[in-house]
Amino acid sequence: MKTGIKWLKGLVVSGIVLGLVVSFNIPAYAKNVIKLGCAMSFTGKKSRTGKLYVDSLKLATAAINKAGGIKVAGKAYAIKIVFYDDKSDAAESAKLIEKLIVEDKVNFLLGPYSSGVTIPDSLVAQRYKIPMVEGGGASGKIFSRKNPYIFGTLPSAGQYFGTTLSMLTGFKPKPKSIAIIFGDDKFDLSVAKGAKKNAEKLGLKVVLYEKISESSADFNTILTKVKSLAPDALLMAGHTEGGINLVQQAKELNVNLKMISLTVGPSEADFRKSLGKNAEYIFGVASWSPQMNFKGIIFKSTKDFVAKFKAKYNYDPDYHNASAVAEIAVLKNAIEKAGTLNPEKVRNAIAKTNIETIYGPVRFNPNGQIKGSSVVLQIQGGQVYQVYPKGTKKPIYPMPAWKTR
Amino acid sequence: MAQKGTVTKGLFLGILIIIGIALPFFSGNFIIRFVTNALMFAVLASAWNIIGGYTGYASFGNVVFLGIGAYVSAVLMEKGGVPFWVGFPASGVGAAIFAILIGLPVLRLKGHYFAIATLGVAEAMKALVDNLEITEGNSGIYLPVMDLSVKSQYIFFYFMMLGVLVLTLVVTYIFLKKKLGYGLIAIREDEEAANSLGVNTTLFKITSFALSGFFSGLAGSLYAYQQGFIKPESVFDVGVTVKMIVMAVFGGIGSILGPLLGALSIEIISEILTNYFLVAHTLFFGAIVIFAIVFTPKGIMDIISGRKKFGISYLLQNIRDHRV
Repeated sequence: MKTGIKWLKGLVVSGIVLGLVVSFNIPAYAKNVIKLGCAMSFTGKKSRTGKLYVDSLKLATAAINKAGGIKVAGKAYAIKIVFYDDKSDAAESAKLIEKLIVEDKVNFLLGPYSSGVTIPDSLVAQRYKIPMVEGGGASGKIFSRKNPYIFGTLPSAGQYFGTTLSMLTGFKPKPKSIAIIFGDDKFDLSVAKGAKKNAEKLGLKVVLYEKISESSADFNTILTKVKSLAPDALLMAGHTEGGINLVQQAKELNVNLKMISLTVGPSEADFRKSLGKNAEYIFGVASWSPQMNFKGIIFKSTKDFVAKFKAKYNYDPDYHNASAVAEIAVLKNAIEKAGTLNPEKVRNAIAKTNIETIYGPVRFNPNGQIKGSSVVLQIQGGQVYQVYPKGTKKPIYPMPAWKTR
Repeated sequence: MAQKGTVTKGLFLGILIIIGIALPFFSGNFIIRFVTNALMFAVLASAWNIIGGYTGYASFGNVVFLGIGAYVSAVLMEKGGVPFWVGFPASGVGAAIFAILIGLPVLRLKGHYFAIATLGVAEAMKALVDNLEITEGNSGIYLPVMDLSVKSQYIFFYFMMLGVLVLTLVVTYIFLKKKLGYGLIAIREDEEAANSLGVNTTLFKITSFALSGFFSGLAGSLYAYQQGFIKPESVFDVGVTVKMIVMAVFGGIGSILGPLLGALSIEIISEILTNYFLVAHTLFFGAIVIFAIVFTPKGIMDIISGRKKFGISYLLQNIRDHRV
């Protein structure tokens, strides 16, 4: 008798285990819905940034559905995003992408946040040949394996100074040499590497290419070197604090260059406040900022998006938010262009994307990454303006010498 | 009585094995991947059980073996061009050698000091791999893609992981019946007494640590190959160590099948909660773990082994025994 009970107990436990494993069912949705799958960092280390994507994705899909959805071959489809929490973990995320494809049968995939999670996810998408549009990973690694099913809306770090350099070579007289300095993190290193490659391709001589320690806050040695080499422009990939110190000390040492450009800093109010008048004419780059003005297909313009976003979520959107809107815009456009939900045809339509969004124009390189759309900023009269390509103001080049200001 | 217990255990094990073998042929790719993942944690928790459960050395850095296993395979296959069949055992051996080297100094420490030291070792390895050229630093490294259909790939990984798990459990079982097993338990109960009785404690502890490393390393190799891409922050994540310890405790430490049951049930509970609660799942999950530890500190194994009758009195007895 007792053995029977024990036996039964064992059977019940195994039964429950088996039952739970097999019963992960998801109810079927009504017809005329396009399902997008997204495993995002709702919890875990990256949940703060993950939320930015979720907020934007929800706002964008709500806007599309309100305006009548997506038209596919004359029929209107509503969009629904199936969200899962990947706990900011790569293995969890890849598993969930599997679930989205196999169990939820989503039509298309949206990316997670951060490059390390995006790559395993993109490999699952590739196995099933379902296109994934991601706006949360910028690493060149994502696109280095020529996976045809992954498209990214964040420009690569290597292209960050691309627009700055092409603006620079357009000036007369044509600059001949530049100096590149960079901070000690991986992102800065990729920016610098890419800038060097780009500059050499454009026929500029890189007279100085050096890693700096931003924490030391002392730029005297490097600036003395720069002064003796006298390049036309100095590009720095670093952070706001370092940028402030660099500009301050360049003035003190009277290092006169035709151009100083920084990756981070010029677009921030703090930078201008700390440097005051010395911030004038400093160049910067950004992939997106809420002050920009682009026309869009989901929202009328950047301004319209920023206003609606702030009204709903009560914080200022940043480039993560805008990049998420671009993801949805890319998919909407591609589905409409393809006129079908066939993954292969939509993939081909995504590859041919050429649209204006509130995030800026979106076109993809053959490897799937967005064509570098970073813009050049310059501080003029205490304000930041976009000066290239097609800015509200013209770039002021060369910068006036410190003594003559 | 004892024989009846063995029959129950045998039946239970039999059912588990049948489910284990039949599962991939009756379920979709997601379930296979999900179970493969759960099996990986079962391997990790069982491997942790060797050093943490039987030997009584609570390692908080066991994830380092997963990481080393993953990176040994990744570097050998991607940079060295060797096939998986070479990379896979190399991962286990690599992790075991690392365990021996690191065990020599670290296993001299006891209690909290050992826990902190192992935690430090794992973090240090992460920092190292983050900055090495050959591992492609913190941007991560790809592995070659397997040339099989999706379904066959998943069945392959499933059975490989199942194989590693069975190997882990069988090897643990055999060792427990030998001098090594008794020695380890003696070390757990009283290391100095064991030493004075002639147990070579250093050798036994290092063997136990190396075994733990070996199986975790094999799991790491499979993990890396299935993921196709790894990064230091994901394979040296201290959260993974915490997870394997929670699983081992949940299932019942110091028993062979405990960590396996712990891993399966925790993965299933966590999956169901995540499915229904997008963000609040962590809260519910935490609550379940707390209740489990308070009411059933000896784990699931203690309940289903049938030594005591399960009921309210069992739960209350546990609280009394452990003075919560």
